[in-house]
Amino acid sequence: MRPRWVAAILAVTAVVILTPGFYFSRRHVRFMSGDDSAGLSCMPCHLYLQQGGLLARLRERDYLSPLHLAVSPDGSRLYVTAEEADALLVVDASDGTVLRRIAVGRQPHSVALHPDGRTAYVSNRWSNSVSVVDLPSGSVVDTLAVGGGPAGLALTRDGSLLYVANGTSDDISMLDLARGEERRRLSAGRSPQSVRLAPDGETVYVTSRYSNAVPYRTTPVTEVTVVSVDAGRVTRRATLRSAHDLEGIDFTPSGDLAVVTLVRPKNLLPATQVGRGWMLTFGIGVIEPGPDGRVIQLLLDEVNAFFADPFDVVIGAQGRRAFVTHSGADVVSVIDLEAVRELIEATPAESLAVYADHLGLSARYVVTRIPTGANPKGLALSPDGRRLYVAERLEDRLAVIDTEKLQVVETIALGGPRPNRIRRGARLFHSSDHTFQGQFSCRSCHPEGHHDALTYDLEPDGLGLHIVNNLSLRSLAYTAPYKWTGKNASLYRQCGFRFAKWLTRTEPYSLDELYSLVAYILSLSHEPNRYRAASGELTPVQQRGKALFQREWTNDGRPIPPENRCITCHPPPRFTNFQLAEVGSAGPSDAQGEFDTPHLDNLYGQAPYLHDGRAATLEEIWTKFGGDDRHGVVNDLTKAQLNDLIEYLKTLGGEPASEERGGR
Amino acid sequence: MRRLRGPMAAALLVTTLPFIGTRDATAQEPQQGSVPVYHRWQTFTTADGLPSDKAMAVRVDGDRVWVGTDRGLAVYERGRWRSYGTEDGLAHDVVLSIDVHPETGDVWIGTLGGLNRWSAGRWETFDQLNSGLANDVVYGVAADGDYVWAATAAGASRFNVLTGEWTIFDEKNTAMHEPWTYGVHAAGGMVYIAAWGGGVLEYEVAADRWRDYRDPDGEMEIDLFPHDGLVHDITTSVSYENGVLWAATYFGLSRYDGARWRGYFDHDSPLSSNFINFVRARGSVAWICTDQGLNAFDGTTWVTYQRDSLAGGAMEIHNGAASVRRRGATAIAHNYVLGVDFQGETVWVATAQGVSRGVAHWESISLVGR
Amino acid sequence: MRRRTAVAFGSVLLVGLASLALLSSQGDVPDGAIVFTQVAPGGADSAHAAWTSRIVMVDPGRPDQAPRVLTEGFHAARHPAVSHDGQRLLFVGKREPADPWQVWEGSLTGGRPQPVAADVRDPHYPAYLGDGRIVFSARGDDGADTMAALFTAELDGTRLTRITYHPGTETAPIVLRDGRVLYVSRVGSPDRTADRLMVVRYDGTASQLFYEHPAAGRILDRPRETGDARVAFVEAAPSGAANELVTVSQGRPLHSRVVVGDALDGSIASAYPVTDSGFLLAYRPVGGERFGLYEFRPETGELAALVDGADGDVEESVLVTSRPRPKVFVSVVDRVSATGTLFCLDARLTDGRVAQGSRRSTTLQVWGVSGLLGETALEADGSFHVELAANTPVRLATVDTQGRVVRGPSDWIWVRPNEKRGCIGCHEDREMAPSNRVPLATEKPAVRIPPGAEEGGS
Repeated sequence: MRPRWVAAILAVTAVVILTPGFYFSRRHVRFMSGDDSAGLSCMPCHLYLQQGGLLARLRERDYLSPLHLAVSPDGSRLYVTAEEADALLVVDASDGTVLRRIAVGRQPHSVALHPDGRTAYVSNRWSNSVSVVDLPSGSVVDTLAVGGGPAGLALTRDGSLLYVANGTSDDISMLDLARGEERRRLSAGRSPQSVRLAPDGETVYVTSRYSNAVPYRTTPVTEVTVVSVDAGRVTRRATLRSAHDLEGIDFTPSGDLAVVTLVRPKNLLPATQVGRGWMLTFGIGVIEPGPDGRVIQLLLDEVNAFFADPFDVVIGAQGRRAFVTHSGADVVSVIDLEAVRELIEATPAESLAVYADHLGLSARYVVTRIPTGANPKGLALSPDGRRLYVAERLEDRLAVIDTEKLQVVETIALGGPRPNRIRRGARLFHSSDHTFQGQFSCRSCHPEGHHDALTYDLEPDGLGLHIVNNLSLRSLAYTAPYKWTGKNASLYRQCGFRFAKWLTRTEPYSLDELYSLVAYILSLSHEPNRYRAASGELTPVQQRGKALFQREWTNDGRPIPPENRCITCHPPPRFTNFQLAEVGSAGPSDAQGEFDTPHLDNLYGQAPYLHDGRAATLEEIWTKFGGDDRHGVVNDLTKAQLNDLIEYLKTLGGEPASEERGGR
Repeated sequence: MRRLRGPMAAALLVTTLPFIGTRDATAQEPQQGSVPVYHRWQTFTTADGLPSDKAMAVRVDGDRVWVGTDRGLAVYERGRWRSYGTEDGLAHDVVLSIDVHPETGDVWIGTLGGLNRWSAGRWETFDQLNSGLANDVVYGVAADGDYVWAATAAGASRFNVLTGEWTIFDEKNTAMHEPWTYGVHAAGGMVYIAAWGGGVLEYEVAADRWRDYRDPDGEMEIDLFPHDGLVHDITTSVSYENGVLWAATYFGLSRYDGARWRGYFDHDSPLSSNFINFVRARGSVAWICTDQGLNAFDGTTWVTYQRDSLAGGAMEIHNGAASVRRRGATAIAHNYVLGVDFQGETVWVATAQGVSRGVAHWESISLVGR
Repeated sequence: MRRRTAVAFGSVLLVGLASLALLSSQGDVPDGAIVFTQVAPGGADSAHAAWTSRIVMVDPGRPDQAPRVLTEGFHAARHPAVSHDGQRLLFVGKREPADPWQVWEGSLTGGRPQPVAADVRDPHYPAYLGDGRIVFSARGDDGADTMAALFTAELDGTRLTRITYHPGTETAPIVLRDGRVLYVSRVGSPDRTADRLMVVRYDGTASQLFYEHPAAGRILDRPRETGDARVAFVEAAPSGAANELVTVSQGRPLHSRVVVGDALDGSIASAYPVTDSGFLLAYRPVGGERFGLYEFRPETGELAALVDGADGDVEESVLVTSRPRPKVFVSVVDRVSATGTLFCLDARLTDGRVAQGSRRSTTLQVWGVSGLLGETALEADGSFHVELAANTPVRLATVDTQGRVVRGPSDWIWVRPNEKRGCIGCHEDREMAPSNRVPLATEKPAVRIPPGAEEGGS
């Protein structure tokens, strides 16, 4: 570095530190962070957090983030999806050596092994595909196109069909493996996640993350979709009332019960307190098979302790115990299924409904809690049932639990780098340690940094007022201000002091933690946009929609005032002008009419819409709530034109989706 | 199965259908060229559990029979009727049309208030406010492949179930005369739309190609030149099966085999009435629902079902000059027929005063030449 | 020149490091030392003794070292509490017999304790909050109130804040790891002789029952939090039977009472958990005259004497060790506001269900210490939403159309200024989480009770 440059940097530093610039800069930090005691610190925001900037790139590391895993039939190999490494890891179960790292599609989620043990199928969430991996050679031999965001997988007993839960297109792909193509697409619940074949091989159960459509501000209802393997049709939708985020599922060996993990949100209550499960509770759903089988919910929380974000469940070979990872509380709960059976047999239906909210019952069936590393996710049992493997996602590690001793007896490091600021932020984001009694993590309401499709009544505005639509945290960089009211100039403010006061109701993050957390949030991005062609070209429909988005004249030739054109408030590249706007969207609970203009990235996956979530679909923004032509002039549009506009809106944001073979 | 052998035959065997109740599950389907004969009818009304006697549509899905009425949807399964109304998620009490996706089994229901999907107990509503559906009045619905088609009062809507994209077909982008569509049939990559005043539109899905079939003489009152094309532009229903297109109008019936059009009227054929509400073909046989009774017709042989008294009704078989008429103690519930569908050998008929189930009869019937 | 500078720099660095090392060795308090209270023979009332009670530290790991008196010069000193870093000591004491009780803070490494000059009467049981302030019980600040309540204050005595408003006695607080204050609530009413444990956020909001038991009597000394998420305390049975060492699980404190001291025949005065299963006990064996300090292991029944009672009865003990600082939180209390609000999801709920009899409830009545403050109609879903004068104890009852009481009156509760408190039902199962539905009452403004109450800051 030339001395002249050094001198210049020193001079600037001196000006900042030694002159009134110091006070200005410190005031700026305090304003942006919302922390009146914050010291002067420029680096975290202006260097580390600049997305795509030099330092950010230097600091990017190749984390593995093991998410799900499968064990070979002989127990000698572990197959681990490494979410952030786009790879399937082959691990020697005897000594923990990573034998092979097989490149698959982007953001691999689950792995299923063919009964012959020679082929693995890996779902690639960001590639909308399933990789077919030949295990002896360790190579991907085929890539099969499926729906959007494939997550859980399950093979039929004979290995001829593979069922895939498509997390963003809300459906289930039925793949014919002999022909290497999708045979059928079935409608799932919203954002299906896990898939399990029932022990009798006759049905496949699929969990869902979000509630099915329900009337505005009513109790969410989320389904487990049951598919008949013979009929290839959905035969039952077992609904879990007041629950959502059904992530994991497993069956008892006899198939008398299926157990799903669940979250019971309290989004309809004024969020005035968090203790005693006033924000969220966490538990399991117990589903009896058959069309009229009961669906029972039981909590895994305690009166004064909460076990956030249950993610996966496996049931031991004897069907006596279930193991549940709590990815926010960093524990595995061990559940005595005999005690669960006794409880549900001895209890009348009316009481069972009440039990769904009972925090005291877990003492009857939770045997113990086994502490794990950060963010325990997928689970798999060894064939003899004695070793339980836990993917410790944010440790880049597997834990091995002895299922008799009920403790971690070994850990298997997969070889990830040391945590940097973003990684530390990821741990904070996924940990419930920063909420009162571990009531929730950031992830609880923002799974995978996205949203939970719910609306909330937060306290600061008064009870029943200013209902807010919970937004995705993806692609937030350079979209300040934040909050629907645009109150927060930065995410530091958003996640700082007031967040602790009104939501987590425990210690605020320290400034260093806040910097890490925000660094992580700003690193989140949407999945590739499946409505954009790989070529980047718009279809004729999308082009017509784009013309409408940019139009300046109505169909009958009247000029549209600039403030009522879509493009004015939603200009590229972020499709927001970062301003507040009053577009006539105020609802009955609002005292104000001005709201922050949201960016429009990957809008298709973010229902409900508007600041208070009243619009269940994109159409409703204009058909039900845009009648006064203030939120864009729309009243002259034909229905076909509105359809075109919506098809264009779906293309905004995100990178184009890649093309895979065999798409329908 | 023997085929009818010409009008001069003094005595013909019309049909020999296996009686479903006495045969195993592999009992054969009616063969092409045969017109099944039913003269045992069982009628279901509100007394049996239907929400209303006025049945607007009927659709069979395996063991289930779906019936749309003016007061909700009913399903018949394992000998029992169960009703669904708006409180359950039905978009509107008046159900006009029903189709079942052949692969997924999802039931698509057209109502006066939008389109429903019933999927293993889950209800979804698509209407003109919450979706890209052209209009809430859904006269006809058809589900095939990745698409669901809805014939609405403001054009035909196509919903791509994979992408959620809605496309509207109306007078602006098709040859539709007016965007008032009454019926839609989709199968095997072909879509046919009955457009009020616009004849029949044909859409080839793979090629994304439209063509239209119109009444060449354009006359509203008469069919000026027989068999020159569609009998009338005011079409109400359309069905395509075995390479034959059947088009129902309020002024007669048309049959098009890809080469030749034929027109059928009540004055020159056994067709019960020119006022046809609905047509559905099965194999080579079209079932024609009129305001004066139900006809089954394979291009040669007609079988007509009418109720003529409280006690019962008549079944007539015509083949050219030969015919036979039989009275029976049972009959379809009412002569105003709005829908028909098939469950194995059984036929289900939606009428203005109940739903009738006809059980195929195992016997040979002799026709007597006139 | 350069060399001289380097030498000078080196010297300064060395001196600095040496001082740092010296300082840190001075501040070293042995981990595992025990601080306990000794009550002089003759009892705490012996006004003429040099001391009547004092606080002493022993290090069981260094039996050669004599116990060290930490309250030298005090006539009386009790209720020790050790800071989370294991370095500082809080206690109440008086230097002279005639002095009023006062909270003092000192270093465990030595030096003179400093008074915490809070303007309260009879402070007792001080404890460190996570934010550096302290909580303690003292007599009310309103003159007429003779019962004890809980207060918080800075270590210099400023920002004195009363946080509990129960008309009974609220005492013996500890600070739980989750940041809340757990304390003993005592009501001298004829219908209830048993003490209860209550828990409250340290700004006085969200007070709620933690533990009660029909067989319980008085709770002696402070409750203590164990390392394995239990709470341990000593109960005096109402019948006069021997005191019992009891633990409850924090997971379900109302239904997990276990008597762990069954093997002990003598008398327990206080207990302090030292490991997941062991306790320090102030214990007097059968036939013994004095309470000594013992270590007790319930799983084996093993009891080992650490300090005998020769120099005085051991009253209570604290293990000196560094512990995680209790969580802090940002208070929603707004001192400008004079009211808070209370909403209830369904006043007719009992054990998660609307009992048949409760359906008659149509109206909520709010009772103050001196009588009925006001009433409001229940919504169709049983919910209500009222705005109450802050810092004022009230009881609630539901009545039918004839004014007959259906449920109630409830326990005394209060709201803090600007607190928006929710409850599930008036006689709810205290282990229930709320069900998820929009309560009708919260869709409307809160009803002010009494009608003239000053508007809240919300």
